[in-house]
Amino acid sequence: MTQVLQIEHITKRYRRRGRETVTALRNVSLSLNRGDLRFVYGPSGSGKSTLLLCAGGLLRPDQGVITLSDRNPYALTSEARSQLRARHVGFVFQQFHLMPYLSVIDNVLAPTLASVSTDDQRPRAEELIERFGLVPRRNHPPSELSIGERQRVALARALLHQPMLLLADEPTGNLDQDNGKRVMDALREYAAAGGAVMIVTHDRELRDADALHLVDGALTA
Amino acid sequence: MNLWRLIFEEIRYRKIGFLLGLFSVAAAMTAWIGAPVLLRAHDRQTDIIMTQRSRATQEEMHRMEDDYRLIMRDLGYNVMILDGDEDLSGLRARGHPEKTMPYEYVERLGTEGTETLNHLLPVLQERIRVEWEGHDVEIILSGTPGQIPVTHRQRFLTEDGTAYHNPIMETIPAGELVLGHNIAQRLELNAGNQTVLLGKTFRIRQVNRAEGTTDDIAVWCHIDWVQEQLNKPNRINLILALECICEADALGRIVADVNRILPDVQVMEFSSRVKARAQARNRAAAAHRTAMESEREHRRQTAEAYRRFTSVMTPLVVLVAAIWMIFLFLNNVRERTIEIGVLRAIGVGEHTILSVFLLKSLIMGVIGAMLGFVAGHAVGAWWVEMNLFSREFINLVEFRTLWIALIAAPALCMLAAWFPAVGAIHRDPASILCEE
Ligand SMILES: Nc1ncnc2c1ncn2[C@@H]1O[C@H](COP(=O)(O)OP(=O)(O)OP(=O)(O)O)[C@@H](O)[C@H]1O
Ligand SMILES: [Mg+2]
Repeated sequence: MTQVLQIEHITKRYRRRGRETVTALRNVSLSLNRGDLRFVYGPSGSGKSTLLLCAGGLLRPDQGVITLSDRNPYALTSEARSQLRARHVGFVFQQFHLMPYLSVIDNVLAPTLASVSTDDQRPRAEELIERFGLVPRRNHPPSELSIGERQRVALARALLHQPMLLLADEPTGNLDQDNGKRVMDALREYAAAGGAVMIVTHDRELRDADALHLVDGALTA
Repeated sequence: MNLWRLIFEEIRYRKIGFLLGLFSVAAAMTAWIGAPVLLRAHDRQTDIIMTQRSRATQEEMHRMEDDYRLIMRDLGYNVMILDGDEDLSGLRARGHPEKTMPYEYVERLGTEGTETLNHLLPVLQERIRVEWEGHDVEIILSGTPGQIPVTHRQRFLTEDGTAYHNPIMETIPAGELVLGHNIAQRLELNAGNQTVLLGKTFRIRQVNRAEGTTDDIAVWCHIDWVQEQLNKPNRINLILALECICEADALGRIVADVNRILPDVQVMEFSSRVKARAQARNRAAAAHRTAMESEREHRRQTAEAYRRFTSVMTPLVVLVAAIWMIFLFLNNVRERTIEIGVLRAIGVGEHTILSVFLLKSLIMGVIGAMLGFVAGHAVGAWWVEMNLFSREFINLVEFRTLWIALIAAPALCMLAAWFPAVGAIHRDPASILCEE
C-alpha cells in the first residue's frame, strides 16, 4: 500500500497581533494510504478545517512535518507547492467557494487554469456533471443552484484532476439524506478506485469504526 | 477554461466596477489627449482666420490700389526725373528740360527694378519754331518710344512683359502724331488728317484735350524721329513716372531709390491730390494691420490661457483617475479574496493570479486609450468649435498619440492594479478560506 499523506506531530497556532493566540492543532499525527477513506470527527471549533488546510499544503504548521506524495510541501517554493496541489490534491470546502461568475461546467473546469495537464479535460468534466446529476444545470451560475447542487459542483471540481488526495470539509453538511448519500457514495467509490480521501465532519452519523476524534485540536482514538 | 475566459466572465459579472474603471481611464486619456488637440486646433484656427482676414484685406487693398491707380493714371504722371545739372528754376518758363541723359537710364530703372516708380516714360523734347501748314509756330517737339516696363511689376504688364495693359500714354507708332490742343486748333488739324512736318508726312492720331499748360503746344511722336531731327541720338531729357501709391508719403525714399540706380539725376514730384488719396489708402491699410494684430494677440492670449488651464487640469485629472482606479482595484481584489484563495488551493500559481488582474487592467487600459483618443479629439474640436470631420481638423490628428496612449493608459491601469493584486496573492490562502 502506498502512502499518500503522512502527518507527524503537527501543531498550528493562529496568532494575530492584539488578540489571543489560538492553538487550533496540537501534536496531531496521522497517515493516509491509497484506498483509504478516513473520517475525522470533531465538534465545531475543534480544528478540523485547519487540519485539512495543513494537510493539503495550504497552511504551514508551526511544528511537525507533513509528507504529501513523498514531499514536504512546506519545503517547496510557493510555485512548486501550487504545482503539487494542482497535481495531487483536491479540496472540497465547507462553503464550496465556487466562482460566482462561472457556469457549472466552467467551475468544474476551473482547475485547468493551473494547467498541469495539457489533455483536454472537457470530456471528464462532462462525465462528472452527468455523474452528479447536474446536466440540466450545466450552464447555470452558482447563484441559481440549490445548496446541494453547489456541493456537488464543488466535489466535481475537486475530482477533475483525479487527485491522489481528496480533502473534504463537511461534504454532506448542507445536504438532505438523499443528496448526502449520493455524495458519500461518490467519495467511497473514489477511495475504492485507489484515491485517498479524508473527510472532516461534526456529523456523528458519518462516523465509522476507524474515525479519528479531534477534540480541542488534539486527536484521540 | 482559460485565463481570458475567466477574465471576460468576471468583467461581465462585475460590469459596473469595470465600466467605472474604464470611464476613469478614458477620462484621464481624454484630458491628456484633448488638451494638446485643443491647443493645436486653436492655433490652426488662428491661422485659418488670419489667412482669411489677410486675404480679404489684401483683396480690399488691391481693389483700392486699382482704384487709385486708375485715378492717378487719369491724373497723369506725377514724378519727373531730370539730369542732375538741369536748371529747375527756368524749367517752367521754358516748358522743357535742356540737359540730356542717355536713353539707357530709363532701361536701367526698368530692369534694375525701381521700387517706388511705375509707368516710366522716356521723353526727348525741345521747344522749336517751325513752318507748318503755312504758319510760323512754336511747338514743343516731344518724342517718346512709349512706356518702359518696370520688369518686376508683372501685375500691370502684358503676358510677355514688354508693355503695360493700361499705359498712361499709349505708344505712338512712327508716322503718326499726337497734338496738343492749342497747336491743333491753330493749324486746324483733326484726328485722321494728313500733314507734313519738317518734310515728313504724318497722320494725326489724336488731339489732346486742353490742359492750360505748355502741354497744349506739345507735338508728340516717336522718339527715333525726334532724336534724328534734334541730332541727339540715344539721348532723352526727361523721364516721366508715376510714383507708387505705397510710397506716396516719402519723396525721400523715391529719391534714394532712383539715385541708387541713377546717381546723377534729380527727382521732382508734382500733383499733391494724388498724394493725399494715397495717404488715405495707406492709413486704411495700417488700420487693417492693427486690427489683425490685435485679433492675433487676443487669440494668442486665449491660447495661453488654455495652455495654463490644461497644464494644471490634465495632471490633476490623471492623478484623480489613478487614485480612483487604485481604489476600484482594491475593491475588486477585496471582492475576490475567496476566489483568489480557491484558485491558489486548486494549484493556480501566484503569477497566473497576478496576471488575471493585470490582464484585466490591460483590457481596461487599451479600451480606455481608444475611447480617450476619440473623446479627446471630440472635446478638443467641440471646445474650439471646429467640425470634427472637417479636413482642417482631421489634419490635426496625430496618430502617434494613439500609440503613446495605448502604452500610457494600460501602464496606468496596470500600475493601479498591481499593488492591490500583489497584496492579495501574498495573503495566506488558508486564512482567506477559513474566514466566513
Ligand atoms: N484565521 C484564523 N485566525 C484565528 N483563529 C482561527 C482562524 N481560523 C480558525 N481559527 C480558530 O481555530 C480554531 C479551529 O478552527 P477550525 O476552523 O479549524 O475549526 P473547525 O473544526 O473547522 O470548526 P467548524 O466545524 O465550525 O468548521 C477555532 O477556535 C477558530 O476560532
Ligand atoms: Mg470547519
